[in-house]
Amino acid sequence: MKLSELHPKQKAIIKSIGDIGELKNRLMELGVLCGEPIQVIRIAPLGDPIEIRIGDEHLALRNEDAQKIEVEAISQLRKRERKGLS
Amino acid sequence: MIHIPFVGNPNTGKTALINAIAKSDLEVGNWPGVTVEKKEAKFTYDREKIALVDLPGAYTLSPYSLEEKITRNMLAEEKFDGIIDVIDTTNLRRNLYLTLELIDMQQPMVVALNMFDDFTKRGYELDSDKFQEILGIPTIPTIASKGLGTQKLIDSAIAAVKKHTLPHIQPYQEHIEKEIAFLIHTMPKTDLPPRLFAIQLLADDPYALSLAKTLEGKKLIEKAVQARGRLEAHMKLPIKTIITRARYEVIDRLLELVLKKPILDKVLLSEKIDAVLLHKWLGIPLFFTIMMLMFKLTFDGSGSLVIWVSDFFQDYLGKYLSLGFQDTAPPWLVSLLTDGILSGVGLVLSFLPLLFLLYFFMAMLEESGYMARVSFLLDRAGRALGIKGNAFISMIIGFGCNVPAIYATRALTTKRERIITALMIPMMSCSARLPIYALFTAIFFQEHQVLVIMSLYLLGILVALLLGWISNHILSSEESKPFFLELPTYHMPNMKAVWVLMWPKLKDFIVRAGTVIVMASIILWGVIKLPAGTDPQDSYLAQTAKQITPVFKPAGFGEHWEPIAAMIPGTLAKEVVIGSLGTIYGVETKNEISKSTFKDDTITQLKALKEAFVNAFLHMFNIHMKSLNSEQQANTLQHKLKDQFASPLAAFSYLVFILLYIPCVSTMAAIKDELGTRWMLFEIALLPLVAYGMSVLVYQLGSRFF
Repeated sequence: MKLSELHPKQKAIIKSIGDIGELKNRLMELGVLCGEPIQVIRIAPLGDPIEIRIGDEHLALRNEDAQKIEVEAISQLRKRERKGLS
Repeated sequence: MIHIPFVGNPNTGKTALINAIAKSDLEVGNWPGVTVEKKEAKFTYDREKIALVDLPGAYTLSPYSLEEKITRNMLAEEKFDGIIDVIDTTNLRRNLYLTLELIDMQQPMVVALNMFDDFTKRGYELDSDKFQEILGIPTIPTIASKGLGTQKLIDSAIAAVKKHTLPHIQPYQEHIEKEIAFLIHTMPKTDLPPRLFAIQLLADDPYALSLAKTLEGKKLIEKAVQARGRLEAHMKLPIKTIITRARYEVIDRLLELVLKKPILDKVLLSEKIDAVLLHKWLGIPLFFTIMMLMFKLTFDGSGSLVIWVSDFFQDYLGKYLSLGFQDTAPPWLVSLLTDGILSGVGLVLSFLPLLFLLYFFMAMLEESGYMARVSFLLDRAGRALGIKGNAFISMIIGFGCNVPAIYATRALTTKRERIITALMIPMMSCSARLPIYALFTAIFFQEHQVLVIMSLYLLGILVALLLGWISNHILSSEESKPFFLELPTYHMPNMKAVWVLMWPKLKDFIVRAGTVIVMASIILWGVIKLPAGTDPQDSYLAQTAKQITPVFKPAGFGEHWEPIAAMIPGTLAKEVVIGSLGTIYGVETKNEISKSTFKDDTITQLKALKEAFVNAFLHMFNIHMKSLNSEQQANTLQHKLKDQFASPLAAFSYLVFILLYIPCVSTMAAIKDELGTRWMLFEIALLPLVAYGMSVLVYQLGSRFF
C-alpha cells in the first residue's frame, strides 16, 4: 500500500521509494530508508501535506510524493505473520 | 587568526550557542550575493584572535537549499582551522549523518551536544566517555539557551586546533572502503579533504565532479565511474542508497554502544502542542488568532511611537531648523532642508518602532518552531500561487503596513517565492490607505461606508491572487524543488539571541532603505514646491497633473487635475493624499510657528515621548477601535471634493486607483533592498498600470449597471 493511504496514527514499514526526483536522496539522508518504521501523524487541515514520523523526527510531505512511497502497514504485517505461524 | 566555523543541522541552536560564546561581539551581515544571514563573531582568546562563523543550517553536504549550498561551498572553498559541529542531542541519529560527513573531512573538530537538558529530560542516557573515545574528539554537552558548557566548548575547540586533534575515521563496509582507497590513490594533489572528496565522487555528486574537472582529473572521474559500477553491481543497489545506508549502519552501530533509550517513549510536550495547533478544525482558526494577536501587538504597540517620531521631526527639529536658518538662507533652501530632507529622515525613523516589534515577533515565530507549522497548515492554499504557507504571514502584515511585510518575506526559502509574495503585498490595503477611504466614503457613500471599504479590501486581495497566479505561471520554475519540511520540536525562543539579531536589521533598514526614501523625499519636494515662490496651482506638480489628467477619463475621474496631483505626493505615504488635497484646494489651516521657547518645547517633546511609550504599552493590551473619521479640514475639503467627482462611481474608481497604485516610496525602497533595483523598477511600472486597468474596468462595468 502507499504511504498516502495510511490513516493518521497508523504505523508501517517502508518498502520502496519510487521516482520523486531529488527528494528521494534527501529523504534517504534524513533516515527514510527501506525497512525503517514510519508513522503517519496527521493530515494537514486542507487535506495536504501529511506529517510523518521517522525515528524521532517529524517531517511533512506532499500527497503526490507520498503516493510514490510503498509501505506495508504494521497491522497487515502482523496478520501475515500469524498466518505464517498457523 | 583562528577560523572556526559552526556547522550543524537547522534548528540545533547554533546561533544561540555562538551568541552565548561571543556575547556582544556578534556581527550580522549577508552572505555575498544572497539574502541569507551571515553571523560572525571575532574576539580575543588568550591573546589570540578567534573568528567564529555561523554557517547556515544543513542536513548534509549534498545541498538541497540555498543555505545548505552556502555551507557546503564554505567548507570546500574557504580556509579554516577547525570545526565545531553542533548537534541537537534529542535527534542524535539524524544529526550524526552530517557529523560523519564532517569526520570524513579529517579536520580538527569538536562536537557540541546541544539541548542536552531536553535529551536527559526525555530519559535518554549517553555514555559520554565511550562516545569521545570512539570518535576520537571531545564531545561537550551544552545548553545554549542557558549558556552552559559554552566555555568548555570553546576551550576544547581551540585546544583541538592547537593540538591538531583529528576525529577517528568511522569505516564503512569493506567494499566501499576499498573503492575509497582506490580513488584517494589516483587523486591529483589538492586542498580538498581527500576522503570526503573520494566518497562524494563515488556518490556521483555533481559538485565533486565539477571540482574534479577543474583539477584536470579526467582520469579520476573515469576511475570514479568504474568504482561506482563495481559497487552497484556487487550490491545491486543504486549508489546513493548504498552510501546512505552505509552511513546509517555506522551510526546505528555507534548508537548501539553509547546510547541508552528509555523503555517507554514519553509523549512529548511538543506533540501535545501540535495536537492543538495543527488540529484538523482548530489549526487554521488558531493561526488566524495568532496572526491577529501579532498584528495588534505590532501596530497598536508602535502606533503612538510612530506618531511621536514624526511629530518630533516636524514640530520640534523642523521648527528649530527653520528658525536657525531663516535669517541666513533663502526660503527655498529652508524649505528643502525641512520639508525635503528632514521630513524624509523623519519618515525613515518613524518606521523603526514598527519594524522593531515586527522583527521581534517574526523571530519569535521562527525560533519557537511555529513558522514551520504555518507552512504545513497553509501549504495547500499557497500551492496554486507557487508560494509556501508562511508567505501568508507577510501578506497579513501587509494589511498593517507594506514595508515590514516586504521585509518579512526574508523568511521564505527561495528567491522565486520572495518575488511572487513581494508582488502580491502592495495589493494588501495598508492602514495608511484607510483615512482616504474614510474621507471619500463619508462624502459619497454615507449609507454604505463599511460595505464600500470592505469591497476595496476584497478587491485588493483578488488582484493580489490574480497577480500571484500569473507570476507563478510566468516565472521559470527551475529553482523550485520538491517540498519537504521538518517540523522541529518547539523551543522557548532565546531572547538574548533575538535581541542581538534585531539591531543589525534595523541598521540595515536605516542605511539602505533610508537612502532611497530620503532621495525620493527630496525629489518629491522639488516637484511639489518648485518653481520657488509659486502657488500650489502653478507648481511643477500642478503642471504635470494637468497634462496627464485627461488620461483618466475612461476611469471616470479625468475631469479635474487636483485629485490626480494629490496622488503624486501620495507616493511618499498614502495618507499624504488627504493633506495634499487640502494644500491644493488651499483649505488647510497653516501651522503657525508657535512662540514657545526651546526649553518648553524640549519638555513638551519628552513628555510626549513618555506618553507615547505608555500609550504603546496600553494599546497592546486594550481593544481600541480607530475611528473612521478624519475630522481635520474635512468640511471645506468635503465640499470641494463633492464637486470634483461626477458620480459616486467615479469616486469609487478613484479609490480603486488609490488602493492599487504605488503604495509608497518606503515599500519600493524595501523591495529594492530585498530583491534588487530591477524588481523595484518593475513594480514602479507595473503598479500604476494595474491600478489604471482596474479602475477603468470598474468604471466602465459600473456605468453599464448603475
